[in-house]
Amino acid sequence: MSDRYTVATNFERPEPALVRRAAEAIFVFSAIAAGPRQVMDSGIKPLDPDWRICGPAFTVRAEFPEDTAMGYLALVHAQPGDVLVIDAAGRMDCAAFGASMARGAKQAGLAGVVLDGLCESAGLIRTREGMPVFCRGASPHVLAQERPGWLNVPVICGRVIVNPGDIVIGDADGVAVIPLERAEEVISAAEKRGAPYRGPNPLSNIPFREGNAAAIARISAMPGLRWK
Amino acid sequence: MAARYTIIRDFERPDPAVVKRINDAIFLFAVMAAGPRQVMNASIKALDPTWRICGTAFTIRSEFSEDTSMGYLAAEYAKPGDVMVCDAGGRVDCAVWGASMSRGAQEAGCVGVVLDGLCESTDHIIHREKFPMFSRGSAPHIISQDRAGWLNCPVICGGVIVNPGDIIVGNIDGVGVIPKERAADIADQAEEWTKPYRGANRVHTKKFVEAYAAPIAKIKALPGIEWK
Repeated sequence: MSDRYTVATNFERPEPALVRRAAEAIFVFSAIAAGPRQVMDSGIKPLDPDWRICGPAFTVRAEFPEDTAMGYLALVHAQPGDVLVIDAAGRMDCAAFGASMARGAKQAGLAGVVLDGLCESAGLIRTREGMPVFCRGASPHVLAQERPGWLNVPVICGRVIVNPGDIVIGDADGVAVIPLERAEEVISAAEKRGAPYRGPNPLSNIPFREGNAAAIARISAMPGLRWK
Repeated sequence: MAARYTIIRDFERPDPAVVKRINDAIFLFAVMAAGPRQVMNASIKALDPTWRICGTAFTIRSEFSEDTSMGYLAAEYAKPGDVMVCDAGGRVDCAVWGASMSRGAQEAGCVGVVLDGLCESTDHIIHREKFPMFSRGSAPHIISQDRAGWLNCPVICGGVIVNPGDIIVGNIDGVGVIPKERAADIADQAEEWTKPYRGANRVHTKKFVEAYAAPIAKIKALPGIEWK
């Protein structure tokens, strides 16, 4: 039988300048430009709402989603600035990531971790390790570290397909994935939409009704509204 | 803006001989050989428990998961032996497939539909179209048919990534996805496991404890068991 588990230690990453632009763009506009199928389901949230991440995806997937072995291997090969994306298949009965791995991620200079599952030692990770972890919640036990899997293959995280090198962005609202091949276009669209909110007279300083006059007019003209 | 939605009308399909070998093997052995990450979430089930399918994936995905447009388009390009796999994002608040679409798939020569969502007109699909449908259940209403999407890009269905040309197998137990690049290996393994269950002296003509003496001995030797 041919080797079943592909372990890619390196892959094409986006230009650092592009990642920086993604980090500076307004998150919601990047998520909108990427499209609804690129936003992870809302169960995946930062352990600390102040955390914000942006970086190329380094993807991790174990054959048995409770297993952490591939996560350990990932921490040896990931590069500074990467976001570790772990496909733990949404398991809610055990943790698939722990404090020692958060420490490893910090030492490797990673930008963050996104986990489709639960994380152990969430308190320590929040207060001591200083590594932003986005996940479905916390659990006190990691079960296994003995099965193989894949590094840097397409994975599923929060119902989105994540390819290695895709730009992953997250904040208190959740996580979005910008496909590498559409990154320039998506980030440009987000910058364009964000421009009115930046500068000396941002849209957010203008009263709501005035700033949104065009949208309000369009909504008011929608067919089927019965005004009373 | 660059074209965002790719419609791939044709793609490389696996050797029909391999599809037949997978079809002839015992379903659960084909699925076991594929591995645990290749089995769809157990909520995706046959509407009629007697249905059994095996065919090549023709994948469908709308930008807005409630939209049925791409499913309509699929009927024009699917080929005999395909299974339509529709990624509706697991939505369970509206239907994303109806009886007319099943008729379209059937006329194209497809062998079934696997849907990560709900279907409408269940009664028609079961009793009039008699066309295998695997889904999360049913709902009486389709709400949208006016958005673009993709045909034959990688999709998510039941928590598994499905690529066009992968072999889809399903029966009352659920649905498995055989990746096309591993299909021949998986067919070999499934045939090997199937063999003792076929022919005159097959496993289930023997008593359970005799047929499974070897695994029972292995289980008895597991460390940590206190015998009383």
